[in-house]
Amino acid sequence: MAIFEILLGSALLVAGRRFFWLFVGAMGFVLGLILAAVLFKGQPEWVVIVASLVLGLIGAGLARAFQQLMLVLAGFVAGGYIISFLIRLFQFNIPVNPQVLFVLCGLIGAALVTSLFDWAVIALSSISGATMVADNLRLSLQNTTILILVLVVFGIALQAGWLRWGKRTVVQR
Amino acid sequence: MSRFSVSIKKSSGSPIQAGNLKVTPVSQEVVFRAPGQSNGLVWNRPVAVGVQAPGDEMQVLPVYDRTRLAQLLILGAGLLGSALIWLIFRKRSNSKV
Repeated sequence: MAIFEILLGSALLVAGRRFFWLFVGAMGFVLGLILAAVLFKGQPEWVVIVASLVLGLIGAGLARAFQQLMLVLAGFVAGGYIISFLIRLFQFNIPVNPQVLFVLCGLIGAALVTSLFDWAVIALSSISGATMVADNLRLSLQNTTILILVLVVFGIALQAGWLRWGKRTVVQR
Repeated sequence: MSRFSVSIKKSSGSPIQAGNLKVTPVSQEVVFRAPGQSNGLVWNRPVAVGVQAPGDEMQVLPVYDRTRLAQLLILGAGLLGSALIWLIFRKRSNSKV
């Protein structure tokens, strides 16, 4: 499970915008993990993994047909996922229900994807990819924080480079 | 070759004596089976409790997991809210054009 999540996170980090269906699929997988934790409480781990994979595949499949809507929904999950991870990592004591906070930050993620599109997808896929990788490496708090920062900068720079390169080649044609 | 199948069945556990009441847990089992597999994905959850006082008929009290329902509703509201944000923004950008 950890290796799969590290691979998925790495792929998101470098190609979350370029292969938008991958971003949608990965966020479908994250949503599957959340739903499975609610619906399949107490079931073996493989049940959770299968349910998450199925939702991820459905998300990636639907991304082809409903590109923008699925990206906005993926933005919602990414926003919620990132804030949940940060709260868990730094053990913030916030007097708000974690699920309500997930939804609020998810709505911010969705609004960002709707209004900024490319840059929001780049930022959200890089941050969620970095957290997915760092979360599964089980490092100390300090090392996790440094690793996330380095990976986020690397992911955003790489994807931004690809975005500019793509626009330049379109202009040249 | 067998096809993908879903089966739902209810089963009762062994009764427990609580004071002078006999309490029987009732669970629901949803089984998803892939083609050609004898094993499958099993989702078990409590659905009711049967309570029987001496000399009375058994009363079935349904079990509602309100926490689970609230969690799903919150998540669903968020997804719906995201879709609404997208719809409103799309309409606005279309009207600008």
